Amino acid sequence: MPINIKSLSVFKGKRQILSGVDLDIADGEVVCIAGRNGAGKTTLFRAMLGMEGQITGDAIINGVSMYSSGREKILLQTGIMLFPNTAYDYLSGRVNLDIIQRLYKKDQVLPIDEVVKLIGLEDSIDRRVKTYSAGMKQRLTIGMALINNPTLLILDEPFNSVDQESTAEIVRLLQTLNQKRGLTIVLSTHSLQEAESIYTRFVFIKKGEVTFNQYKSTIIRSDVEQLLNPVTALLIANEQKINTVFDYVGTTTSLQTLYQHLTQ
Amino acid sequence: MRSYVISEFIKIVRYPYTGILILFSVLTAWVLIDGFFYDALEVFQLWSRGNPGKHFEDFTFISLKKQINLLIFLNVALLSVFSFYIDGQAHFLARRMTLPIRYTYFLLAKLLLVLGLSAIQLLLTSFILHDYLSDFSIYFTQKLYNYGGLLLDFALRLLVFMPLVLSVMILIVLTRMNMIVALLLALLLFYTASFGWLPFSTIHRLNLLIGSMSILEVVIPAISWSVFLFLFTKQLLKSKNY
Repeated sequence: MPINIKSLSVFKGKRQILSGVDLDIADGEVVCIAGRNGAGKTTLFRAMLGMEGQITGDAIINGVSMYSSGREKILLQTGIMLFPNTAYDYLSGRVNLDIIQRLYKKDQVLPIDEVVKLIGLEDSIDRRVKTYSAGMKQRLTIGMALINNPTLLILDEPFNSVDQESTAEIVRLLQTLNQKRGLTIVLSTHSLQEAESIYTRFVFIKKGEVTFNQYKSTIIRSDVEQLLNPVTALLIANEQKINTVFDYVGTTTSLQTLYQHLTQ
Repeated sequence: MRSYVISEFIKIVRYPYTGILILFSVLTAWVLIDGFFYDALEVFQLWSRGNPGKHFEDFTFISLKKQINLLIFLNVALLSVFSFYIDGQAHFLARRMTLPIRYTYFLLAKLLLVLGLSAIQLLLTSFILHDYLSDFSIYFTQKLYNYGGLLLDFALRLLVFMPLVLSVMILIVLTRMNMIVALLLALLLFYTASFGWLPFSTIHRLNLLIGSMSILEVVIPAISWSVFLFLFTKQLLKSKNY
């Protein structure tokens, strides 16, 4: 399902969280939205799904405004994971999927066994969720988002608190969903490495504004690294403090050179 | 609707602490009704000394009504908080806007389950403490009652408690599933209700005998408050910000 975000701004009280975001996502794309904590990634997802109260602009999915009565219909065709570990942990993975499945009409859902196979939890689906590893919980949460056989999948931080092995499994799952089932996927992450092999477009958000939006084929790797490299991020986050230190020390060290290079 | 009831049933029955809660409620009943037994003993002594024309139950019945009502009240409040607590752990409120939830069915299923469990708790407690049913048995033998009447009485009694369940649900949503705050406020409601404050005035007026349960004074206000609070809770859950 195509997504058109038009000059979308979100306010919380007097504070502006998102400012005039424009973003068009075509059918079948895998868009990776990155940015530091508090940059506005989750707010963008919430606003995109019609969950924010104070907005200007619009979020249109498949031609329907998410701030109109047609939102419900779009939600039925969308798989959403905005929160990690949303399972009832004293129940088995299968019962959790069953509880979500019951919210939809029978002809809208995928059979539970098919979802279990997709998320690769065949051996542990009948175990209680509290015995799962973080990666397994994350895969189950994605499975819960897939139960309604969506054509659009929105995942907020799917690689959060997940080890490398589970990350690779989630990436493989998303690749399968995109390539074999043609799902449009929008996901957010802190680190590019995890999503690098699947995204077709990279969007960077800083202080509620889209500062970078390019297709993979046109991206110069160093541009993205500069945006996401943790050292750079740390330096940018502490820009003022570092400048104060430089002013105080009054020296041109190699660190200062590196810093200037990275933040150019 | 059936799916929602089954989901709620699975969620609450499989929760490992449900058994502990029921045990707790029976214990609470024991504490509440223990006072009744103490009073009854006093009354029994008075009766044995000089009231030959009266039965023991004549003295105990009035005290029992109050204790039973308080007991149902506490159980219902606890179960309401409990049924949402389970959802809170799975971040239900946070993700409710991303799921196609039919709030009418969701709330009705919760109400049914809370009231159903309350009924089971009450019956269990009654069987253990031999109070509620033994008193009814007196009325059966005197042919003042029949089983249909008993069931109707039970249903009406639970109906009267619906405003309480819904009020607790509203508190849970407003406190964003902060269960400790919700429980404390629910307990405050519990005490307020015993003074007969607006939606709960019906509980205050509730009598044990169905014959004396006035439709105008008890049933209609209970239904009206339930409908109002139900619609309010539903709107609250549907709203983006509350």
